[in-house]
Amino acid sequence: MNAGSETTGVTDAEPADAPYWRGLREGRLLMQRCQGCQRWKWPAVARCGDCGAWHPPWQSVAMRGVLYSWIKTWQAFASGEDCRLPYVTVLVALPEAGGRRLLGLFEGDEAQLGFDAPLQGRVTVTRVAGAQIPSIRWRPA
Amino acid sequence: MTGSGLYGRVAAVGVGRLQFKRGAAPYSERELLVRAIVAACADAGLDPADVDGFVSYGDDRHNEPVRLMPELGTRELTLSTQIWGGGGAGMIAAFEIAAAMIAAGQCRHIIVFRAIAQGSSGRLGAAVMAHFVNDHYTGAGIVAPTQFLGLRARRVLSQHRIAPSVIEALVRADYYHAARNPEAVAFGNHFRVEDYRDSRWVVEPLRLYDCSRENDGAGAVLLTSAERARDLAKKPVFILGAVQGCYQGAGDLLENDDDYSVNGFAAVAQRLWAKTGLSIKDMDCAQVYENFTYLAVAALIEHGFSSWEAAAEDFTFENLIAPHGRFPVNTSGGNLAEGFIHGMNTAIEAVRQLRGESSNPVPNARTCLVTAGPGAPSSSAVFANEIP
Repeated sequence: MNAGSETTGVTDAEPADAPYWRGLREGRLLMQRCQGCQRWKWPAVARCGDCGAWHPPWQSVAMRGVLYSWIKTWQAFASGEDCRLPYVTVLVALPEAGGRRLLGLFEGDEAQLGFDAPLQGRVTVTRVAGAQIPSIRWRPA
Repeated sequence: MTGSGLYGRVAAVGVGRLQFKRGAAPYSERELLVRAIVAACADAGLDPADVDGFVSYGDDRHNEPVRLMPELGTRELTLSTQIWGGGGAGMIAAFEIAAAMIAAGQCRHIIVFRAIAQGSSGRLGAAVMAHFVNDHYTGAGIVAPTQFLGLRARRVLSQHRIAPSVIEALVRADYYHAARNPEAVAFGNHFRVEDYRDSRWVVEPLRLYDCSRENDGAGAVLLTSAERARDLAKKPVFILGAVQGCYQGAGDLLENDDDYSVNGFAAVAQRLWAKTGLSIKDMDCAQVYENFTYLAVAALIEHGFSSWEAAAEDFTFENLIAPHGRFPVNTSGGNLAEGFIHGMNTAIEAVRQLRGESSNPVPNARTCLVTAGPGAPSSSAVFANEIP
């Protein structure tokens, strides 16, 4: 897999984040970067609000990030195999994608949870609320 | 600064509120709302049939104003509007729109309202989440507002090094005021700070006592022009300013706000003070929406009360309580201890306080800051019982 390669474009009928979900289903992280102004776009957009370019393209990004924030859920808001209480959800900043942040469940040693802790991710699914959602699990790097 | 479009031109003239334990309302959600509106009109001495405009917020799904006409006897409907947004951030934006329509001469009497009854609308958290939920959140185990706001609360708490005493002061003040308010959920409650410190985790870093109540209820505030207000039953409470908004880089961004360690009131506070020609120093008290404690503290600081550096000195129990605190806050108990109708209690208490009807009066109070919930775009207002 060529880390710098771009995917083919979105079709007009798809939501702007369709390539992200396709990427996860293929086991990789794709993030959107505007070809006009080079800014990373997240949430995904059909049009870059900064420079006006339509359908900014997507590229592979390594699943490496730093911990931006986290919560530990003790109350049963969610049901599902992967939401057995208590569980930790992280917000991870990706230095290789302009600091854009992704949400994901955490696995591993909670003693390592601290701001800017380095994390690495693996693609999987989250079984929650009766659904299986492609997602990234993060653990201490 | 005075003479700006809304300043002093519109007044709150009636308030109505019913509140019950979550899931225990004895009336349907529609009837709760009708009763609150009728009560607000009775408070003002106005026939409900004379209300021509209605504004709500927070994804109020079932109470479209045209459906209220048969029960209110509405003669003519001239405004039926709702503010976008799933949480309580739009509450004061509802007042802004209503005031603008009255000031422009488009409407005569407008009710701002919110009604929620679990039987009709489901758990409030679920209803709010239905607005925000998508696979990005659910795939990370986030299905409730407490969770994504908990992510923000941790940044606010940690990046600003909030001393526990700051949060405890707000919680203690809320419970102190509620204990003296017969309409509050926590009326007569002998709250101790240990109750807060020992309360269970809901979503770390939020404990049970960091979180607002959930209730069934309806709240309604009747607005009309300052001129018409003088003919009605109660002392008018004027809107000096009400604004809504957010800057670029804030919004519904999957937690990618540029400035994250904030509640998000910078844009709103800047315009509120600019349009009114006032500052936080001119406020005699405040009613602050606290679905979560850390965000309420951030809201006050973002409006200019204290600073992150000085918070521990300024946020003390003694400073925050009526009658003699330097800056009484949430004088009916707030969302934590009075009850939660998506924030309507904050606006209703502002009106009552400025009329001299509060259970915890602030002597000589002339002005009150009112803030709405977190979530861009947010909104806040200055209410006053005289026009400076």
